[in-house]
Order: sequence, then structure tokens, then C-alpha cells
Amino acid sequence: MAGKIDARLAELGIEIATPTPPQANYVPYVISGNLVYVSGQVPVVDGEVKFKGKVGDDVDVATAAQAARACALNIIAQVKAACDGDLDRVNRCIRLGGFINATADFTEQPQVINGASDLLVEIFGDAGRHARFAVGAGSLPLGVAVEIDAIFEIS
Amino acid sequence: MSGKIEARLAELGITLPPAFAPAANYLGWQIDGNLLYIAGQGPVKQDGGLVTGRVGSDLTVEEGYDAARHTALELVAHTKVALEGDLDRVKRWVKLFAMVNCGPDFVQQPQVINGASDVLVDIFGDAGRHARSAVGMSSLPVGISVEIEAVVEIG
Repeated sequence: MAGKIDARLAELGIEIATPTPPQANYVPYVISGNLVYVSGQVPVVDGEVKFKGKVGDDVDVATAAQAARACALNIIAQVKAACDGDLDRVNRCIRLGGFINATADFTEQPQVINGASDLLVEIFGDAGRHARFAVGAGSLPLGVAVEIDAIFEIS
Repeated sequence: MSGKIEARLAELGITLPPAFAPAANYLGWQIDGNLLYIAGQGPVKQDGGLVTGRVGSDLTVEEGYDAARHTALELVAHTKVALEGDLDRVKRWVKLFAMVNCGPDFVQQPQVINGASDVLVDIFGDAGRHARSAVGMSSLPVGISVEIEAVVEIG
């Protein structure tokens, strides 16, 4: 299978990993009608949790943006599974919810979540443009720096 | 009324808590097409009281798990009202957005929110399996330990 999005991923040198299964009694995504709701993804890279720490303290904005990119790659992996492997079925990324494990006075949440938003637009073009929120969370599971969930429209 | 889900609740010995009215100028739920959006709910006990306090300091993880379970039952109570008493109209729990009131170094949000996920699967079976995001918040309204909002597909 060599769809348009797969070709674009190859062009960008991006590999989509096998999605990580959830650690508890929930599922990685739910399809309702033509919407895919993707569970909050954390920066797991090659099966290992990366990018732990507090943004604004021991994690800088550039590193946190890489963490956001890693979350987005895992979101795409889940969407790919939801589309039975065919990412050309993605009509649109509707919304991202971005959470940053940040210090109380941190204010650069948008710059961090841009790591995810930029990647989606690089891969999907206009279909990757989404609504989003980017907020500081007091803490996140496993101590990760960023967690992102998403809603995609598929056909 | 004795639907399948009501029978399952009885079998589990679960009595739903009272469905709290919204605290301000918003709605407790909203239906759009076949999706039911439930506003963020807190851990309402059988007697109408709330579970309050920070998980990890005021409350143990196990107590947090119980708070998440109470919160899920409050979501079910709202769903029942929204569906005019007929919980058999639930097709699928689509997505939970779960917030844990905890300190900046707390990392066991998933273990806490499992209290909600587990009880939804106990009650609704496969239809209770949802996508979810679990994050830590440095504070929540009136000091509640857990707040969860939900999207449910209905028939």
C-alpha cells in the first residue's frame, strides 16, 4: 500500500510506529460516526517513555516541543490503526487537546504544542489544520512533559 | 422501568447518586445528533456529599480511585436523566476527559482514573470501553478530588 500520505511520510523520512496499547481498562481510540476520538498520547518512543520532567524547570521549550511532536506521531499511529492502515482516509484533524506538565508560572504552552501542530500540517497539509487548546497541567501520568489527545474526521 | 443496564446496576448493587444541577449558567449536558456531551462532573457520594482533597497528599491513590468511581456514577446519573431514564439507549462511551486534583510531582493519574473506567466497563460491558485522557490539575472547583467530562454515543 502506497497512499498519498504514506508517500508524504516517506518523503519526510517519518516512520509511524506500532501504536502503544493502553495500560488499563480503556481503549486507544473510539470511532463514532466519522469521528475518531484518540485517547491522550504521551511521548513513548520505540516503546520507551521519553521526555519526562517539568517544563519551565528541568525541560526547556524546545525539548518540550519535541515531546509534543512525539505525542503527535503516536496520535497518527492510532489514527492509522483506526483507518485500517490507510491514512488517506483522513479527511481532517478536527481538534488537539494539549497538556503541558509545567511550572505554575509557565506561559509558553502554545510554543510547546506547536511541535504537534506543525507536524500535522507538514504531513496532512490543509487537512492537518485543526482547532486546539494548549494548557498547563499541574502534573501528568508517568511524569511526562506533554500529553495530547485528538479528534479526527475520517471517511 | 427495568432495562438491561438497570438490571446490571441492580446485580452490581449500585445505586446511582443524585444528578447534581449545574453550578452556574451552563447545562449539565447537551445532545447533538447522536452524541451526548456531559459537563464536567465531580465525585458525588450516595448522600449527596462530595469527595474533596488532593490525591497523593490528603487522599491515597486508592481513595482517589474511589473518587473517580463516584464521578463515573455521577456521569451515568446525568446520562440517565438526559436519556429520560432509559440507559439502554447508550450505544457507546466515546471519550472521558479526566482531571485529578494532585500535587506537581504526582504521576499516578491513570491508576486513579481507572476507578471510572473500571466501573463503566462493569456496567456497560464493551459499550463502556472508551478513549480517555487523564491529567493532573493543581486545583479543581470546590476542592473536589476528581472531575470528569464525557462524550457518549446514544441511540
